Amino acid sequence: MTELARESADDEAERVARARNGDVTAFEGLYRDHVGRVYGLCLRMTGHAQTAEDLTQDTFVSAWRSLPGYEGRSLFSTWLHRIAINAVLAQRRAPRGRDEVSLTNDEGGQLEFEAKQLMDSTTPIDLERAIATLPMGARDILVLHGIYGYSHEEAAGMLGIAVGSCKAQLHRARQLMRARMQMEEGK
Amino acid sequence: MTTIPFGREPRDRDELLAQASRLPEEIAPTRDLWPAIAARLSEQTPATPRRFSWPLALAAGFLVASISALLTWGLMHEPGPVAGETTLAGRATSQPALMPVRYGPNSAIGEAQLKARDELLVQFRRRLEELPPETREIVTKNLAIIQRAADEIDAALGEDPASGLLNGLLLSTYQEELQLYSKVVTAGDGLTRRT
Repeated sequence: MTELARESADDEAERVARARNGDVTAFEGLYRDHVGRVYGLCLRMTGHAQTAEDLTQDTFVSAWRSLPGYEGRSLFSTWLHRIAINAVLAQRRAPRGRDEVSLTNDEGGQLEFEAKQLMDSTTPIDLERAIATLPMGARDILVLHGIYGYSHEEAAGMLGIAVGSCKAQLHRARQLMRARMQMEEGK
Repeated sequence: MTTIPFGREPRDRDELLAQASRLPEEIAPTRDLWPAIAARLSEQTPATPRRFSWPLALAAGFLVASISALLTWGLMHEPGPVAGETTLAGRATSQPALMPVRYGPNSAIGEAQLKARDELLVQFRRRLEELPPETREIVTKNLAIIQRAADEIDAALGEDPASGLLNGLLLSTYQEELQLYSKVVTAGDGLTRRT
């Protein structure tokens, strides 16, 4: 660990400790540091900006309530991601109201991905769009393993599935992604 | 077929995963979410650590599953009411208060689910009235066990919302509640047809 990284980790540990004691300012600092990763995960797993914002809020409120139970065994960012993933999974289980439109097609792939905010000159937007069209299971593991770098064991634990299922879903994601990227290139 | 050798930095060895790994991990929301979060935080302070027992929650889940199996067996082997006794005998006995499971703050149960549960509950209450008092008492006790398990797991989730296992357990508990209602409704059909 570099000196800078150690200082950063120390800062975070101190802010976590202060937030555990009810210091909202310290918790806001944690929010500012981590909101991008939490929102990015929620957006990629749900494919819907408004839902992702709601889930991001829920994640931080839940984290605040649960801080006394956080013992520092995992990185704070990983702990937050676990909370966010559980929020996403719970939201998926909840039935949709009459006025809500399903975000997914029959395969669980997304009909329309709100990718506007991802567009800048450095973002390979085609890849984001292709990921967004994957069925849910394949998309989840590609996002967790491919983008956020979690191992199969970690991703399986977070998603509550077997490691074997995780690997099978990644294999499926790869096949579908190749097919979809080739289709895009052929247009 | 391309395979990813596990445990050897697979993201660098697969072109697609390598591309995915270069995507930004962070995406900024379109607006600042902090004011809304801060408003919600002001309604609560961080929970004080409670002595929650994981084994107790797991045992509660196991108990619910076991009781559910016993309940099914019991209902299937329940002797039919003797002609003339029907349900009046049951109604004459005082019945312990029956409460549907209270969903806790971590339940994420939607309106439509609640509505479906309430509709099933109406049928369940009607059928329960027709069961012999002893059976009715068992059913009511079982519902209380499910409630206790749901409360335990919900409390645990309040402290460890990152736990996928607890989320799964809570969902299973709610499913057990619905299965209990469903079993009683179905078994009630069989009982009332017997002569």
